[in-house]
Amino acid sequence: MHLKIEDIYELLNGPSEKKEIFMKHIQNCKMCREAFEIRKDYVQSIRDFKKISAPLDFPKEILFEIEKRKSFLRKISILLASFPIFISSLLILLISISGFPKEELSSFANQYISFALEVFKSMIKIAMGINKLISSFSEVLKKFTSASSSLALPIFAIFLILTFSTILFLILLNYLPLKRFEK
Amino acid sequence: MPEKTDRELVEIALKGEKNAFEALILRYQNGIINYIYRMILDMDEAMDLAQEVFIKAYFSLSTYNPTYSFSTWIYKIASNLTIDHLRKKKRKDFNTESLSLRNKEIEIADHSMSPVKNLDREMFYKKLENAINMLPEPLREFVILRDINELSYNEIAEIKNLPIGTVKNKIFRAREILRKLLEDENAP
Repeated sequence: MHLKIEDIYELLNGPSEKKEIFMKHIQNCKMCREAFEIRKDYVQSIRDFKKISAPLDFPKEILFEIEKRKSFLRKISILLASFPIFISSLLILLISISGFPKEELSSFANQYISFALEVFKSMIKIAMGINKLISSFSEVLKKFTSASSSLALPIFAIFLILTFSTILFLILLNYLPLKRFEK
Repeated sequence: MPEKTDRELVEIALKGEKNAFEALILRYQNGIINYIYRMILDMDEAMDLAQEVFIKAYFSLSTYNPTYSFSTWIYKIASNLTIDHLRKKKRKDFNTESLSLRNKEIEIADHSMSPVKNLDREMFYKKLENAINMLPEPLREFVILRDINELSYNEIAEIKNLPIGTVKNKIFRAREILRKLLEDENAP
């Protein structure tokens, strides 16, 4: 009965309970002795394998980096103490953004930018529309005030405010981002 | 003056003494660099990662439990960081099955010649390096820790949170795969 390879490695690992029995067997069995020599030689060569040495300034670099990070942490804690609400909301924002996978984040950013552009364009259109509306109303107002009583102006002002707020409400309903993020 | 133990150095470092931590770095830097380099096979990245290991160790020094050895603790940090790094890089894994050694008893009736004797030393080391690099990561780590870093089975079992039997088995399998790889390269 020959030794198993596991047993040979066990023998190479140093003292073990079965060492004496194994050694006795190896002395008498040529095949096992050869197998043992091969593994012994092999394990020894891995151990002799050239090892990489750290650069001389390696510990200094680490200590320098530690100091750098320490001072950064100190600055953060000072900031946190000075502006707790601002920093914590910034942190929450960063954490929530970092939770997004990169692709999703970029598509989210693209969507957000295009939405903002769209809103900007519509705001310009609305402003131009309002401008036209005001100028035409001012003409009507001129005619109206020249002809009329003292009550006419406040009534017309209320009418104007109501009309503008309705228009604004309808515009906001149409452009509110709710629809876009329902998806 | 007798050299301070790891535990003593940790205690002094915790009091804010930089020199004590520097002594710990000097004690473990080569082992950690070798381990990381053999795992990720990139010298620049290995240096950066080794630096990160010591920085992480410094900032979590207060959580170190002195009932365990410092070497196990630092290697555990190194192992976790290296595995995270490798996961990020998604390196292609070597197929162990192709070597048909998994779950197969290797018989002693293996009359192969010693790979070391057949080759010139320098060439042998080159081939050995290639063979180590070809090992699948999970097994490579065990060979590096045991044969290159010369850690004990107990230490490796602690680092990897595995039973000692599993550690022995993995090292045995890795060594035999390495030997086979070297033999195959050396075959006429």
